[in-house]
Amino acid sequence: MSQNNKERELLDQQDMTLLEEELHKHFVNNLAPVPEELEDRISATILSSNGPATNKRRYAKYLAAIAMLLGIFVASVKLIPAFAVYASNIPVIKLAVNWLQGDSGTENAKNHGYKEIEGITLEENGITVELSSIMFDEDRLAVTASAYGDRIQAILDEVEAVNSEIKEAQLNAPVAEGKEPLGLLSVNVTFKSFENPGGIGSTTYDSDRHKSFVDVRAEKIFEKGEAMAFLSKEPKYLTLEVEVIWHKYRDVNEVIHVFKDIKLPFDKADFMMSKGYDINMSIPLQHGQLLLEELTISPTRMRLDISYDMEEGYSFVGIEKPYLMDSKGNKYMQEGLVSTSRQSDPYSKVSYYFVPSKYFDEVDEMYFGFEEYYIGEASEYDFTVSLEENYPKSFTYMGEEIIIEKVSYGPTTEGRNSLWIDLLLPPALKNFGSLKIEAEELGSSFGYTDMGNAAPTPVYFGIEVEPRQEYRCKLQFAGYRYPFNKTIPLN
Amino acid sequence: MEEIHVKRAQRGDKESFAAIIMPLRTEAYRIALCFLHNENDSMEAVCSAVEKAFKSIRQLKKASKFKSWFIQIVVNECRLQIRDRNRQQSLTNRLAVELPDSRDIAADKMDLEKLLMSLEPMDRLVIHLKYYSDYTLREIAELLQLSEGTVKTRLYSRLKWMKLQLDVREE
Repeated sequence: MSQNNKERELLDQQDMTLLEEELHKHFVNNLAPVPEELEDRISATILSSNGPATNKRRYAKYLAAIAMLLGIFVASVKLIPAFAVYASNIPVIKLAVNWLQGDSGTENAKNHGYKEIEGITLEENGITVELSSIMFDEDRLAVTASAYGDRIQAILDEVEAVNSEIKEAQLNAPVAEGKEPLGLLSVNVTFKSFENPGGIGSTTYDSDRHKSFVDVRAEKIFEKGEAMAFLSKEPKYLTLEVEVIWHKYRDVNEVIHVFKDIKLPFDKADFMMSKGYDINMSIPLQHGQLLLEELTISPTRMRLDISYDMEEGYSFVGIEKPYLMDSKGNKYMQEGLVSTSRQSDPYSKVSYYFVPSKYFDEVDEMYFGFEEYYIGEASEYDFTVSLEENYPKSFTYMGEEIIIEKVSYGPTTEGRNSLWIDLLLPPALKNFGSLKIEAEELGSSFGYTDMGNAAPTPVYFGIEVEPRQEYRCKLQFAGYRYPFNKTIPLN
Repeated sequence: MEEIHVKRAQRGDKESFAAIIMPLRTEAYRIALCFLHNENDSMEAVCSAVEKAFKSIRQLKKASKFKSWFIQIVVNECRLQIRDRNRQQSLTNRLAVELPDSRDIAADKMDLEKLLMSLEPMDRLVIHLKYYSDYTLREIAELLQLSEGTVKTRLYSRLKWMKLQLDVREE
């Protein structure tokens, strides 16, 4: 660029800067006054408004867990992404692989020669069901079931049409009278070959595919010895049953069709056994200890069985970001199924799952670590609230003050009256979002935690319950944070 | 604290909604005025935006984005008003929509206010947001749902044009 051009450009830039400064001054010096009546008009607008439109399909945005026929084996299941429909604020994490085909663990196993069982397609009464990505080993039996066809499409179209109409009407009124939104279709898989045929399933409704398909990734987690007991009978088939269910209205489920007695041939020669390693070591915690019992390495994932022994009055709530690590420093994290717990034993047990698996590598040394852990109170009820009292008030939990900011009674998004409790949690406590009310069933509460950086952390609960003089409440899965940040060699 | 109010507002709490909306009324009004140049129309646009924001607040995923989300609704309300207004006005009464050729400048003096008035409402808004409200180009782009490149090009081409008009006036 010539010297003249450079100078001209510099002059232009200076002129532009001057103009920008002029503009700024002009705006500041010529500010139009804001009419005083604006505030009143805005207030009147808010007062006369019907409030937020209800969004009947908000659950369609989240992955939903359908726990099928949970037996005494599995008392609770934790999955990531957050599969619980009520946990509306937990961010959905993208899976590393197409979740319908499995996870990082199944992907790794297939790359090392793990053979899937051949899938099958069935058609009955205008519904087609495809069973695919079938994996069977000593750890689990997993299958993807996809339903589609004319009958499915008709129901999906009806749900879309009715719910869109209701949503449009609700822009002008909170709840369209006489119209209840229609629920979604789901697919349930039952593993009939086994005495305990139940499992867990995960599905999603938030993609274009689900305008025509209903998918579930179903899995049966085996108890120790369960798969081997089945194989000892020299079976030639795995037997499954698939139900297509329409969760039509809140308390109304309609079974659309059942595919019974589905037989999947399999070759026992392809079956892969797990490798178990006894550990038997304890990790001291505040108010108790963790007992690391066994590490089971299966083809598609690794499982660490832990039990915990706590001092009286305390409960073990959980650990943050657990991982396994090998001698080369490779970390094995959690994806999909995080943990399962069982309460049939004297000491409660938790199993943590990690992917991918070391099954196909040499296992010399393994380590276990986590960032922090949470200890809660074992009391039956933590605090009492009343609609007739004034708030804020506070109560103490694990030596920390929790503020009850507000207690009110009002409608849910579905127009049903609920008790609403707003809490502020101090930074030392972590809450996983559940509240129990005396005499109400577990799972009737819904709540969410602010995921921002506010401290103390706001946590809100809503529980559908009738008006009472007072309510005795229990914070479930809330714990005091204790940092850990160590990696323990497993013996 | 605002995030608590947003969460409560999402549950229908009018008091909480008012607590987060009122602090934004001045900025919202000035943006509407920049567009509409009419006090009553601007207040109407702001109130319509308030009503729509309250109705659709459950769609807001991040409480921290409340301000930019609301201002976007205000801008959209203003656009609707302009569209309805343009349907009623004849072409000759409309504000200039083409960037005038610098040779076609009117002989009258054009001060800064008149220059701004002669711009398209959207261009006027971009300049207002940049030089009065101190938004960055990226923030403006997000607000107006345009690419940052488009906003930058439009802004600087309008500034260049304005500078030309002012230079001609000085001559």
